[in-house]
Amino acid sequence: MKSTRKILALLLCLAMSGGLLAGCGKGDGKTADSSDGASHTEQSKNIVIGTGQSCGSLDPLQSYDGWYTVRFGIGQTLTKLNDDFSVSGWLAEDDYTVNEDNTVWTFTIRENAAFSNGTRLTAELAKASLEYVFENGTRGAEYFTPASIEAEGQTLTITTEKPEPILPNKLADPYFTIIDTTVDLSSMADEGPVGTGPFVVKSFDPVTKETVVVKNENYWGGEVLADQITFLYTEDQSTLTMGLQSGDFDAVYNVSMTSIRDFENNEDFTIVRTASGRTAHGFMNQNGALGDETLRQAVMRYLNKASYCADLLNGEYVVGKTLLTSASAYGYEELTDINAYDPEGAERLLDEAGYADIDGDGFRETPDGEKINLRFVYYTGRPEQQILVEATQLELARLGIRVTPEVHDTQTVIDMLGSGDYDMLCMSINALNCGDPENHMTTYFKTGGSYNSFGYSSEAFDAVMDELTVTADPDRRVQLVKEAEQILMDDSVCIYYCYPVMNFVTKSNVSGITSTPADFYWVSENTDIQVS
Amino acid sequence: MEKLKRFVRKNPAFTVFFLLALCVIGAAVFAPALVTHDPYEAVLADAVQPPGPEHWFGTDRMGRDLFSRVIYGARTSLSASLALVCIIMTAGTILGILAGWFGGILDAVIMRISDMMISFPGMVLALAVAGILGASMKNAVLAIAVVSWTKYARLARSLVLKIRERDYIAAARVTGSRTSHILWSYLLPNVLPTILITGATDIGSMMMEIAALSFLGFGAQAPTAEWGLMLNEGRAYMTAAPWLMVFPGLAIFITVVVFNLLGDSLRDVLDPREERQEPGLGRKENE
Repeated sequence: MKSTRKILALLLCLAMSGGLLAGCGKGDGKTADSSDGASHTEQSKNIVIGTGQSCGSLDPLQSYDGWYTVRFGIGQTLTKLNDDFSVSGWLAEDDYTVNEDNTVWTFTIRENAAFSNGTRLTAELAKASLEYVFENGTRGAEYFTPASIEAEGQTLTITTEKPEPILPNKLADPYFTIIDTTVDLSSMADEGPVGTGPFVVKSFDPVTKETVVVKNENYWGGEVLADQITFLYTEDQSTLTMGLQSGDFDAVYNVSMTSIRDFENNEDFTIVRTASGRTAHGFMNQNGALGDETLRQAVMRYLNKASYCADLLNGEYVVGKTLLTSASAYGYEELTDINAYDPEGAERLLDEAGYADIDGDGFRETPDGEKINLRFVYYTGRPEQQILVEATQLELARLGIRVTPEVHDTQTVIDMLGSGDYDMLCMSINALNCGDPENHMTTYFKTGGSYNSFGYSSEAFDAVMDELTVTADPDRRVQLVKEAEQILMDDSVCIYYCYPVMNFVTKSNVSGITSTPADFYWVSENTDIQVS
Repeated sequence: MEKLKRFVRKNPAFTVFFLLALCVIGAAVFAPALVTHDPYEAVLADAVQPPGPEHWFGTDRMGRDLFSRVIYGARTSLSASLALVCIIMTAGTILGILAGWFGGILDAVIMRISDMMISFPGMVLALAVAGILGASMKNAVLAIAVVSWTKYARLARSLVLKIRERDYIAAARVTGSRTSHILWSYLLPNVLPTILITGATDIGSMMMEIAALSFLGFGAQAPTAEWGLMLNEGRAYMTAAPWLMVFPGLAIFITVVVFNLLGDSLRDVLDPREERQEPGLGRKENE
């Protein structure tokens, strides 16, 4: 009886290990086939893109969801950011003009531009789309405030209340995606807007965030090469990497620094790398223990960011210093960081300010004797986040400051950033979303900015921003931005961990997927896959 | 001494596994003396070093010594799984004995609750409970306890149902023993060996479940040294630095195997009858 059981157990073991090994096999079986193999028989060109980033809805005005309208190729804007952060026309012709005071901008909408439902894009419809943003969006006024928008034929005239020297840059932000407002917009969040892009939404699952777009047969810009693109969302970095290796994904956005080497020097894959306008921010909420500037300074001075980038992030990131990336011309080298790495100085600061461990638990209390426990909110949709947060936790523990990491999905973290429900919050944000930092600085750091939930308010900073908004001279603008950056650094507002280098890794038979500094142009009519 | 020798000669398998288990427990208890580095000290410049003379198991992604973390992990994993087994064994046995002895409404209530618990896949329910309670080691233990006590309740109940009709119980009744006395002195001792054996074999699987919850982010939280969590941390480095997964994985594997085999051989010691009646885990016909 006993030996029979043993033999049975052995057989079972063998069967199970066989099953395990079978599971490890290359996914050229059913899974891969269901994504693209099945379609190969009909020679249709289906592409599957894996991404750790997705949106909560397809409504461009919700949160930062407009980014995905553009990323998924559904919508387009009047203007487009180039790789050098300059601007050119997209739905509008390149010949836009402005009056001398920078208050009246005139755009010519392209004659052939049309929505995916066949409706021709006229200036009147573009006007309706822009007005829709100001009527329904919460962030519109942080870009500009129109006094009037007029349309005549294909000519769109935007008159602004204040001078708007960089209006074309601002109109390139996905918040101003041009959508057809004449159709029923009530189900836009789930079904997507009617845009002018090369693709139209086939399905969107608000739970899994899986989005499928198909070729826009009426695309105004010529023939769209791919038939269907599926965007699969997972914040799990190893799933993304392994999905690409096994063939389930044809391309993956932002492969992590630990895995990208697996795809280098491999002829089966192509890597597109770009320095972006991104900065990994470590927001510090001043409505709490971090309201004390001394504590913020100590925290900032204690973090060895250079080591994070070199040792933990495999050198794929540039060490952060100021708000704006070293890849831009906004003074990375010349600005003075009063909170440069100085661990002894940080300890001294806290000792002198009376932060001491009174109850002997290994962590300091505030000078008033209250316990400190900083909730550090983050998401794993970008590979560097968890590393940065855990490194901060470990380092600050040595300083005697307790940090408790708290992980959520990206959309929740964005919402928490808006509501201020955190002590510290790590978020990678493109500060050059308009090819210029003005909008980012207004939204996040100006008094009353819609994402300034951390209680920062500086008259000096606001004054510089007020001047920046109406300044046209490029050199003066750069000067003002640097001044504003310096104020933020001097006030120890935010930790600037690092500047990510973005990447898109694609199979070598995929072309036309782009990784751009703007970071919201992923696919286009030229996106293609060679099916054999 | 003589007795011990005879016991060892009679139960060689048990002795070996018992010693091995003692080694694992010893590693946990004497962890501070065994480790070569502070398991929580991050030397960022040494991140992801391969195994070598300085770091026997290499270092993890934050530059912490992996050997020291694996040894310290034994503390977390062992204490959690032992606590867990104790909780479910005690709670399940008490409820099972009560249900079996008193029957009626009490039996119906306890067993229906236990039916509800086992009608869900255990791990999924544990995930849900851990998700609601919030991620921490304590809550992970609680979550698994909530879904695992039913096994012991059913086992104890079925044993009680069997014993309750025995002559010696009838005799105790006739002689006017108090119920509490019968439960304590006659039922419990007869139920206990089977329960203990089940408990001992459960340590391994409970360890796996705790590690699984930690792996999924519902158990131990960074920077705790816990095997499941360490596996998760190493996942992103599977190709670049496989040792981050290999060593915590091996630790789980070895410990679970040792405790499973220990439980198995404990059965032979406590219940030497070759043709044992299998304790029924399912519903009894006289329910």
